[in-house]
Amino acid sequence: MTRHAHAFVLAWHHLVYHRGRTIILIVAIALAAALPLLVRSLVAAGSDTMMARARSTPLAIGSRGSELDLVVASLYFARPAPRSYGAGELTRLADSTSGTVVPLHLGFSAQRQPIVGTSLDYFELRALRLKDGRQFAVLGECVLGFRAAQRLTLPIISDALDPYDLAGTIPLKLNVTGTLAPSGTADDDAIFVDLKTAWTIAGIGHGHQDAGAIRDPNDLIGTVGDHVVASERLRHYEEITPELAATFHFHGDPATFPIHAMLVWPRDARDAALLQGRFQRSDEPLQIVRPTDAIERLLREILRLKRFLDAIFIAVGAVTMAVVALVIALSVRLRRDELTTMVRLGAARGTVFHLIAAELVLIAVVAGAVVAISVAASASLGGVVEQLIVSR
Amino acid sequence: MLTTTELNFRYAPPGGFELRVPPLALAAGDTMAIVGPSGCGKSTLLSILAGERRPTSGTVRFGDQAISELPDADRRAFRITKVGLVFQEFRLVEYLDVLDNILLPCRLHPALALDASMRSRAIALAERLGIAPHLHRLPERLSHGERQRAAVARALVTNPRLLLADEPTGNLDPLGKQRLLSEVLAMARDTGAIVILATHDHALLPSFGRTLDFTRFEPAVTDGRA
Repeated sequence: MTRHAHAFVLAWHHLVYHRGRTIILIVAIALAAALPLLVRSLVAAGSDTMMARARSTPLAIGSRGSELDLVVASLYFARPAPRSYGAGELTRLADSTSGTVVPLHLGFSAQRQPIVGTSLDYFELRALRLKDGRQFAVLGECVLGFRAAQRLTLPIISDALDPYDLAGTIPLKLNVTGTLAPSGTADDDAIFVDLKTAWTIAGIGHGHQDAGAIRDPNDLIGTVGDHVVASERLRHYEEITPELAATFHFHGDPATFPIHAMLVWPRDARDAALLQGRFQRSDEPLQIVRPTDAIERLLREILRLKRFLDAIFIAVGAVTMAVVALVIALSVRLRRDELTTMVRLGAARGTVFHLIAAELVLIAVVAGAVVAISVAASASLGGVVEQLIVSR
Repeated sequence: MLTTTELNFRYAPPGGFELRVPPLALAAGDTMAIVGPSGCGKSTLLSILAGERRPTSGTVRFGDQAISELPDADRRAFRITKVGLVFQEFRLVEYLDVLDNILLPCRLHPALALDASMRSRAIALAERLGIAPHLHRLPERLSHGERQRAAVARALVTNPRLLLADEPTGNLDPLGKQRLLSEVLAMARDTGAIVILATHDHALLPSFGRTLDFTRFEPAVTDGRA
């Protein structure tokens, strides 16, 4: 065993014996070193994930208001949903572009996972593959994102709407027809339904159950002439069964049914430029946003905040290092008897220095390993950071 | 053979203390006790003989080596390889178990190798001193006497030619003192080591071949039993 090895053995025994102090030192050093690196890594991972999503969505159209709110709601399904507008805009827009327009109905959820009403084009343009099952085809069917499928428990029933909802809409039970393969995007957390299913959840479309067939007297309030009045106890949620599907219908003009955003994949740059020009008119009730512009502005703000945090981290790091140096100096003073004994026994010159240095190296190596593992783990947390940034 | 000319050691002012020691000559296997009141210079003399301090005047020789003339690095090498030290407060390292405490000198200087034979010797010493069941215990879990024995084992593990002990029996009961001293002297006799022990316990003096008495601040060496 070399002299250095002996120093490390003694240092290891000392650190283990004073394990409480050792852990505090390692945590302090690891925190001081890891915080700025973690923030940098997390911001980079989050930025990459967010920008990748923004780049894959050329244009978003929604009600006038905050561009950022429109983008985070339509790309990352963050709540609250932007102000809705009539689905008739979809037809109007289709006349103005040769690209593909995808409507989005937002704002509903089931077990806290967002329900996104859209068309089948969405899956094609986002290159989302089915892991198993099939696409939704009829009212009441849904396809689950990869993480949503892991988190949700059956039955999947849309969350109750606003508790003060006077329309008396009943939550809708959704039938799962398929699960999407993981995409590493906000799509993994969503429950996708057809627009009409979303409108049914909104209470615009409904079916009629034959109350005359009700046998349980507790489910009935009574009869008024030819009408049977069902009790609220009858159903806590609506379910579109094959028998009931035939009776489903929508009241009103479909052009007025709500959507919250339209995503547009223009055919080419000219098409995109023409579209953007159209929505710049002052009498236009809708706005068009390039998601990359909105996200870049958001990330610039985050970077500004990060620079401020970096300055704080440098100060905290300097103070931590000063405290660590003080702890080491005090430790050497407290060990004076032990170190003097070693010298009296005949320790070679430099032994005490080697002993203290070995201890510092061991602490630094363990702290470094903690930092490296943390930073490496943070690199895969882009999706989590994205959710943290866009969630309210 | 340990020989000294008349040694003189003076602490820097304002200590004002001056130690004068008559010439000494001890052969392999000799034993000597140093007696005297606290502060008379017993520990200082041990540290000069160990090569920790240089005398202000006079020379310490071990064999043909003038220890007091050697540079610091050589005196450290002499100490770790040739001298076994037992301190008054044992000075065991709190974070090492008994076995690692006994083997500590081997981790402090490249002149000593921590090999299988050294480990075997450490274990044999522990068995002889009755602390083998505690080899993997920390010092804080040992009794006073067990700690003392561990300190003696550490001093003997390198098979020293000179064993210097500074009041090693100070806190033991009379029976324990005599038993430990007998064991130390027997082990030193087996290896032919010179034993010099500082004490103020006159009851121990009959066990030593010679006594260096500082009682009257006029040190004198007497041969035979005091």
